[in-house]
Amino acid sequence: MVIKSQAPWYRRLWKDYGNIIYCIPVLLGILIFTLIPMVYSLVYAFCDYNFFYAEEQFSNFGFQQFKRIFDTDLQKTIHSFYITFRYAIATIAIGMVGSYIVALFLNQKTKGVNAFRVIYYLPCLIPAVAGSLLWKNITDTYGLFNNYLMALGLEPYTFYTKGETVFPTILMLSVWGWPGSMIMWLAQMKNVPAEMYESAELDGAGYFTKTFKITIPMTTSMIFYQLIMSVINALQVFAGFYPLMNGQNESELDFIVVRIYKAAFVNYQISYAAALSWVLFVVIGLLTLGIFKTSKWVYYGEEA
Amino acid sequence: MNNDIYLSHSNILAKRIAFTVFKYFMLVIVGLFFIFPFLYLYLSSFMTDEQILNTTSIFPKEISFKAYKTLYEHSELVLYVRNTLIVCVLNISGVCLMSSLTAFGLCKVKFKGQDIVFTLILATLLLPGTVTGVPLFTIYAKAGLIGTLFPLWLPIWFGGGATNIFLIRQFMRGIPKSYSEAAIIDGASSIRIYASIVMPLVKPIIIYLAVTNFMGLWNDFQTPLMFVGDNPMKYTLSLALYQEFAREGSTYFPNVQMALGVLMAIPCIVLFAIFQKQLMEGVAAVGIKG
Repeated sequence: MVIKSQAPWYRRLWKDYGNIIYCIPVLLGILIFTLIPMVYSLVYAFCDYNFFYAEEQFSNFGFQQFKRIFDTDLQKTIHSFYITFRYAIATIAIGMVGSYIVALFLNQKTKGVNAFRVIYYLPCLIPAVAGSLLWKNITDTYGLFNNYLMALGLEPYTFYTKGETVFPTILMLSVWGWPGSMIMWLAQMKNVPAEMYESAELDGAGYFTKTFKITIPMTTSMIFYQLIMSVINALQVFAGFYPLMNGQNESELDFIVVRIYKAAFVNYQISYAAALSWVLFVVIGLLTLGIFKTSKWVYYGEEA
Repeated sequence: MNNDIYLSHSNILAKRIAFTVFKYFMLVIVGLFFIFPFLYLYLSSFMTDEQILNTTSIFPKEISFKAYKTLYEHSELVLYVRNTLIVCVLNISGVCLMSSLTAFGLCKVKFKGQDIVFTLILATLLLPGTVTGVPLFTIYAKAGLIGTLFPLWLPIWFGGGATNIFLIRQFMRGIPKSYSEAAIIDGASSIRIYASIVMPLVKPIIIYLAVTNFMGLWNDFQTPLMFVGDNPMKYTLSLALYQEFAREGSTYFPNVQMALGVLMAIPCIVLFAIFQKQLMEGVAAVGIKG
């Protein structure tokens, strides 16, 4: 005899949803540290929020912050976006190609190549703040680089101490950041099946054919990942250059996030900072979407 | 005829040797180039005050320990180390415990709406931190947490971080179903399965994440700058390096900054040396072994 019993409602509820308990912390976290701040930020962006006067926190609801960004401060906004984009495009383009070439260079079976990988990577273990202070010291008016230049009978260069030379200096020094992405490329290159190269060699393929027909196509998923992450990170550049700012180079290091930081934490213009961060968010969102839409060239392996 | 073969043979050999020599030569030259900032950091921390301000060489003219002595005599340095360690320990334990629990909930048990939760977690990865930074500051300020260490470790205890969750989930999916099914038949609860079957198996990825998270946290500058700001009692090392030793108006010489940089880099170098293979070959090298 079969007893057909309907389980009580709470049992069924527990069976269907009970295990969500494991995800309660992360859901609370998204709510507290992402969604609520986003709502706050949106409200701030559309009013005058004064941080110091508790009784008149929110006033003048409207578009005035955006008007300031795109009207009164238009020059500054354009300038900030210009230097941020110039930084992002130049460092991502040069950095991805450069670090990929270094990775190819180290992706060989020479004895002892592992030790070289470690050596190349060592500078990436320098803390970011120490790194920027280090370069500041090396590129100082009487720093090592200028003393070398003068020893060679050349003119000293202004590096970070003068507006015009800040961007070339950033580009030049970004080379030492390559090993950071290099190790990610190397990890991906290791996953390319050796048989592919072997059969290509049997067909008489040379180094360049193998690189362009096997290595690069097989690492497109990592290229895609790095591209997305570099765009998101480069447009929010901050920590590496903030400690370098001084009276002479301030405007050339006035990246968007630096302006947001200064507006909010130095001048306490919370509303202005919030509005500016939303502008940046929309720009990053559109760019990421654009990259995703044009990602037909990415190869994710057989089963994916 | 014989002679010909011999000639071409030695030719090939000579070519091979020349190529190998050239390869190592290039590896060394490029290596010297890349290691240069690291060497400078280390060597300049031993320079005298006069030399560091106008140095013509990467090598110290005379070895001076003054920078390290200055740091040793700095009364607050121990406090900065302690603060940084507190932040790291609380964060790493949060990462290990919470992200593995969340990943377990996402792939080893079932509930309705699981996919939505996972998508939501992934979506937060693409959100620029800048948007939430400003309102979080005001929220922390209202809660009286600005200038304390809470904002630096509290959020991680809510879920353990999206990237970490994602990576552990990828790893957990590789554990065969039969492992946990046997336990279910024996009547084990899901939390038992998590603790005694899944956790031991995902140890390699947990260690990998603990190491990579530590390296990021130990050197983080932006978060402490935003939320700790200028409360010297709660400086972490990175923040102290900027606020105390480098900011305009600071009386310390660059050699002291470099010396602190050298000391700060030590834990990361040690960890890198120990976990070199995993860190170099990425998550893929963290094979599933019980």
